[in-house]
Amino acid sequence: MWTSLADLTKEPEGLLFLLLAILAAGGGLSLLRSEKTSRQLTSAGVVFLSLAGIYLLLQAPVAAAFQFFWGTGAVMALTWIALTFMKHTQAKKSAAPALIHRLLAAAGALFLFGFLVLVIGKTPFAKGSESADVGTWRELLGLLFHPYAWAFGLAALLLAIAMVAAVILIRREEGGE
Amino acid sequence: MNELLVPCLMLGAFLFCLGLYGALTRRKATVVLLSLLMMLNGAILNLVGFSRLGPTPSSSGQVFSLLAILVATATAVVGLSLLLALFRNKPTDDVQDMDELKD
Repeated sequence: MWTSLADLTKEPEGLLFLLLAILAAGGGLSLLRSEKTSRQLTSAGVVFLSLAGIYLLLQAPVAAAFQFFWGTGAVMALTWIALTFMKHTQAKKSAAPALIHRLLAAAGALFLFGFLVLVIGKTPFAKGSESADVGTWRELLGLLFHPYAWAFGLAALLLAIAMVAAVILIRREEGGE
Repeated sequence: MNELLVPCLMLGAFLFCLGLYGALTRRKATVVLLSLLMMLNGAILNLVGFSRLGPTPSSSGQVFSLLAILVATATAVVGLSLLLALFRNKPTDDVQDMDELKD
C-alpha cells in the first residue's frame, strides 16, 4: 500500500491527484478549525470542488459536472442564503463542547480511520482493464433510463418532496408571524 | 491510472472520519450539516473510484454516485430549511439549544 502511495509522485496524474487530495483534506480540516462563517463556507467549497477535480482526473466527467453544479454550487449557494437570513438575528456564539466529549469523538474517528486504512491495506485489489466507454454521457443516460429507471424515479420523487417540504417549512413560519 | 484506487479509498475514508468528528463535536448547525455532507462525499468518492479503477470497471457505480449527489443536495435543502424554521422561533445556531422536543 505504501509503495503504491510513493509511486504517486512519479507520474503527473498522481501528482495532480495528490495536490487535489491535499486540498480536499486541508479544506476539511480548515472547516472544522475555523470559527468564521465565511472561512467555513470557503473551506467546504474547496473540499467539494477538489472532489469534482478528482472525478475529472478519474475520467468521470458526468460525476464531476454533477459534483460541480449540485454538490458544490447548489449546496454552497443555499448555505450562503440561509446564513444571510440568520446573520441579522444571531444571538450568541456557540460554546465549545466539553474536552472529554471531543476526546472521545476524536478517539472514535481515529479508530474508525485506522480500521479502514488497515482493511484497505490488507485487501488485494485486482487491476481492472481500462475502458474508454465507462462513464460517458451516452452510457450513463442509457443506464439511468433503462435498468436503473426505478432509482432515477425515486431520486426525482425525493427531490420533489424535498423542494415542497422546504417551501412549506419556510412559508408556514411566515404565515404564523 | 489503476494505482489511484488505494489513495482514492484512503481519501474517502479520511473525509468520512473527519466529517464524523465534525458532526459529533461541532455545535454550529451549519458546520454539522456541512460535516454530514463531507461524510456523504467520502462515500461517493468510493463509488466513483471503484467504477473507474475497480477490478471490473462499470458505469453502474457512477449512476449511483449521481443519485447520491442528488440525495446530498436534497438533504442540504431540507436541513437548511429546517434550520431556518427553527431559527425564526429561537435565534440560535447552537445544536445544543435546539431541544424543544424534549419538553
